[in-house]
Amino acid sequence: MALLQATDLCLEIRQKQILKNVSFSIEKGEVLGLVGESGSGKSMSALAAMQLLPEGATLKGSISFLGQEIVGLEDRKMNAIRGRDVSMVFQEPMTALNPTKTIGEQVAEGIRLHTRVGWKEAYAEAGKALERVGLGSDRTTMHRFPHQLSGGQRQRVVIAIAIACGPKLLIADEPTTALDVTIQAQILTLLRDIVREQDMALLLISHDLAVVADMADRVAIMKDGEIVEHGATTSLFSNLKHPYSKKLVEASSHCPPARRKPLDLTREPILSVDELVRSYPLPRRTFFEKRRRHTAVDHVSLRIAEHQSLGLVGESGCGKSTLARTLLGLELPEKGSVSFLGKDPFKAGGHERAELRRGIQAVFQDPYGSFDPRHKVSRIIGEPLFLLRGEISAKEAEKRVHTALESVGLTISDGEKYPHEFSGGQRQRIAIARALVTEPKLIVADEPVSALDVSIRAQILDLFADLRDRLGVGYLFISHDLSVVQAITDHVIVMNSGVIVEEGPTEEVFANPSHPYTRLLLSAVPKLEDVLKRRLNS
Amino acid sequence: MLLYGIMRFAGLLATLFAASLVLFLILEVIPGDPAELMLGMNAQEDTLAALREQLGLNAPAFTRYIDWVTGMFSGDFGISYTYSVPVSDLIGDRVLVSLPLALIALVLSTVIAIPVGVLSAKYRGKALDTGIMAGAQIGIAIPNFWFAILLVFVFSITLRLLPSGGFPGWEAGVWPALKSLILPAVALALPQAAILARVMRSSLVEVLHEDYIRTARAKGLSKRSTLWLHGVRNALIPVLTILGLQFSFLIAGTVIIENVFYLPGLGRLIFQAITQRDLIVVKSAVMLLVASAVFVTFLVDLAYAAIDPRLRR
Repeated sequence: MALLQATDLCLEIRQKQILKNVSFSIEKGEVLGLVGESGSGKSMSALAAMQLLPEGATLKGSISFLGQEIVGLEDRKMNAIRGRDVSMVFQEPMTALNPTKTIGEQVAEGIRLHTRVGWKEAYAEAGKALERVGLGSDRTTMHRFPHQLSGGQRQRVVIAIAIACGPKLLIADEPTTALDVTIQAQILTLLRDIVREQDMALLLISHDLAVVADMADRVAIMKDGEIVEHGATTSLFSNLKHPYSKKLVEASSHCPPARRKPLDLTREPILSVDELVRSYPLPRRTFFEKRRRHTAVDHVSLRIAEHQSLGLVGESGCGKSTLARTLLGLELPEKGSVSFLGKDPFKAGGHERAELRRGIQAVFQDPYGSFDPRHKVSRIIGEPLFLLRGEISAKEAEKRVHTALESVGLTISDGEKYPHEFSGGQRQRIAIARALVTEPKLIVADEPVSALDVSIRAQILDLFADLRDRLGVGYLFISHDLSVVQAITDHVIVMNSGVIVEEGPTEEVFANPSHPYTRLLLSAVPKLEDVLKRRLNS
Repeated sequence: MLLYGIMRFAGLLATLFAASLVLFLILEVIPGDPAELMLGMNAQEDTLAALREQLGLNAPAFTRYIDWVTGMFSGDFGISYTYSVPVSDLIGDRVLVSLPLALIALVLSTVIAIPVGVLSAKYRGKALDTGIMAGAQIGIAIPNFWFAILLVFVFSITLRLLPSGGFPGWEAGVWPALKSLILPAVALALPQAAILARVMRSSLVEVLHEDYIRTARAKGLSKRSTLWLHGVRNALIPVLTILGLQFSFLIAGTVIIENVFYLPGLGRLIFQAITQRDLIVVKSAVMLLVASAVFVTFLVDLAYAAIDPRLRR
């Protein structure tokens, strides 16, 4: 008998069909991977197994856990199962913990609830769980609050909560998506070890094919609320049948076309940064302490030639966004100099300043958050044109907006719509059109594809490559995702703790990383091909 | 935590200093000669001059400010222009009416609002929630003096349960004194409770959508335990902000309510002092109210840190 058997799950939320006849089963001690793009229904399948679906959801079908039907089971009985027999690890460690309770308290709470022991014993048990996830069980750890921990540490706490009562099934919904690559590797190893040690079954949900292929015994691929293909991991991936699965695998290792015209690096760079420093004050710990400062960017120098595409890689907090903000003129440099088109943008005033500003434009990670929801798309795209006021007529401005729309593959009629009418990928196209409208020399793209699904990501990367060849724009491409940087850039800079640790032509750096940190970063990213090769051999 | 407390206390002192300065300057520019007021229209010029000298009105503004502030620290608030008795005596009696009134109203509004708000959030979208929120809307809309008259009509005139006004003094015993404060406190508390309940509801509804609520449910906690153990404490943070702001409104409200119920409180004292241009009384009484409001804000700040560990550094 399977540990968990879901049969013909149909889920409807507000008249919208989310799951269509989804069936899957997990055996004791087995790892099942559930892959799919956003909106495919993978998270809802997990919440259905926990019976924690959002309000207004109607679930039909059957889920049997250890022979007991849990669809429609009364909440009181389900409460006894949740946390004791089935538990869950969530995607967003930053918000998954109660900010007003200590982590010891939060781990002990579930133990107390299910084993009916006193606080003292529950704390001792909680200590063991925290120890197991690598946080240590001493009093200082137990008494810390979530905000005193990093994202990776918080995810460890969430895992400790989930495994504290020794559940038979652990559900992990995108457990590493919000984490840096090196932390991701640690968390995945931790999950794998715990599951093996305690003979737990794991339902691993991810959009990342390589992660799933690495961890799972069996994999199910989901699309639009249906499982399109499933099977044992290695045989499934070596013989994909469904066209969607094939498309997904292709998109995940997609590489946009290479540069057509060779770069001319001998000419004067369009952007040069010398010994840039930017630091922020930290809060005082005691009253009389001198204010300490955190140096986000520490003596960074870089050059970008015309048409060049430069990648900037690093983990969260390494200073890459501060650097980008300084280049965009949103942040004053403390020391060092910035020169764009031969001029210092922080000293330029009036007309000259507007001219420099229109030469450098930005694309951000979350396009929706950077649009005014009450503006039409044409107005959003045309907004940077105020930098050209007095120089171009209204008619010409309109023409520019139209050209920008067309260069990113949208139609002129799309300009009359509002941002909410577009999908995530189309919104990123709008953001790129807005950056293109002033005909800039350089686009600073800060994690431009991180929020997108793999197939959309492939399209946007192609668009960036196309614009580079067609319009000759240069890029500063900032990302934590090494495969993206590898695909689109000529040169790469690796940053760690505000300092550049390695730089060079992308191919060379990726093939032959010289700095240990670069090697660490590269080895931490699972690659589908390598993973499958390794699994086939073992 | 200690550093946070010290910083807040420093803020309290700075605010009090700024407030005293503003208050002093405003009353300085208001026309009207206290000596003339005290002696009447027919006073002789030399008696006026003598009185001015005696009241210290001829000294430069800076000296008078310093005298006023240092006086307040030693409990000497000056002599009332109209009653010719020490202002401290006047205020002292009244504070014993106004302070209990404001505190009872504050406690009452909190005690009503928080459970009502939680209940409303728990049954959000259901009939109970709609009913409570409609009631709260009415509570906000009704002017408190009109509500006070309504209370008098029901509880004093019709049911004859509680006195309709006046204050027997604490000498008459705790219960009779409290009895005469009940209706005014209810009249003061109702609109505040209505606002607070709405804030509590919306804050809790928002918190219930947080990820950590889902984590708590995944642990196996029931909906009810999740609401109380993980929801309410986090939802209290914005409620506290409003509570702190409301104390000032409560104090302002006492001016009207004390007039309706004929209570010899600070509000009425200030009201009378203003009409009689007894500026020395106004100055000190207002300063006292400012101090109490600032002090309550300080307490709220400390309560923030107690609830939210992110503020303790």
